[in-house]
Amino acid sequence: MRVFLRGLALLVLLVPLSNPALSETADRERAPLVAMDNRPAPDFALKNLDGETVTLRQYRGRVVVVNFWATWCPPCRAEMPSMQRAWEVYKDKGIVLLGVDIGETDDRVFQFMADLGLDFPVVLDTDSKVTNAWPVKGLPTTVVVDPKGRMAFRAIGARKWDDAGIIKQLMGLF
Amino acid sequence: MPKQKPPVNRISRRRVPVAALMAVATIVLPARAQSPPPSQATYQVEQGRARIVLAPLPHDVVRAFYIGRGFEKPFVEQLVRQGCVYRLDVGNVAEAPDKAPLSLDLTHWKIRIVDGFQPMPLKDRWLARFKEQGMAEPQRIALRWATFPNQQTFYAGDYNWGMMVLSQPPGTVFDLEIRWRDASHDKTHRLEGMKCASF
Repeated sequence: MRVFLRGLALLVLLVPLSNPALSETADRERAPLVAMDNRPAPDFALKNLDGETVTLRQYRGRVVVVNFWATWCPPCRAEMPSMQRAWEVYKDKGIVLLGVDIGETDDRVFQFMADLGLDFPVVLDTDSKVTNAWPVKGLPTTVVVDPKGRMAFRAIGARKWDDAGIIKQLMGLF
Repeated sequence: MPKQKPPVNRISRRRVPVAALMAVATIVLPARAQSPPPSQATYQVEQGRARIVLAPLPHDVVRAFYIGRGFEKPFVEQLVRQGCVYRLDVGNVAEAPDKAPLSLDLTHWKIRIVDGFQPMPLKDRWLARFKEQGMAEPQRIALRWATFPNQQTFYAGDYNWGMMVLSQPPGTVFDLEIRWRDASHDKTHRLEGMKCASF
């Protein structure tokens, strides 16, 4: 039964890839981030995969790329490798990639991160109440918070987070 | 209806690569589910900044998604046998520095099965019904986020995927009147002869 369910889950992840619509996703991913109105980002306190509490405020002074996602969402999965690459290169330059998983267990998210070799910070919004306070209607949605804690940019749908144009936008916030 | 001629106006109906779908299904599914899925037409509208794609989801994909999210099997089978699940993919295909928005409001979309056009059943209705039926919160959260939002605004490069659930049995044929707003212009298009996935 477990094998059957695992197979079905894999099918869910793979079937959308057979759709011609996805072939255009690569172009979409290079689109620049959309400027927001610099409203203060809602703070939160959520558990990470180690059970530790993480707040948005603790990252004040850095650029925080807050990515709302779920493991079942194909575009979310598509952008994860580029998020990891951006994290590896820019974490020491003041940019934080922070994933906010919605409505899933730590076991499921941990397995997903391990399967894809991801180690950027992720927190769990199990009841989606934190996400409800943010300008998020679908997944993935990403909001970039500037060093002063203001919402500076956002993207709906996957992006290539290590794209030179996007990195330039992020670095421009310092 | 707007009279201005849009820069792009392409409506298409095309086949999903069924062979690829079958290949994947053959690899990951046990024998019980290996019967080939029926051919599924997708419906696509490209006009101005809008790219709107609707594709009926095969039953095994629907089952896989909902079982994977912890839904009870009876609920999933009821959904497969009495529902009609589509994937809706909407994007603003304009390129930067275009700053005009594309807006979608599904409360203005209408469906016609036999008689006149009626409002589409939206996620609020499903969530309220399932809450009454005692569905657990984690499943309602999954349903909420997997279903396309009622309203959403997209700027250049933005896109979203989501499910759209219609309360119609497999194989139902229907017409769909879709609406969106491209910058300050209201747009309408009627997709005729759409079909729910059949067994």
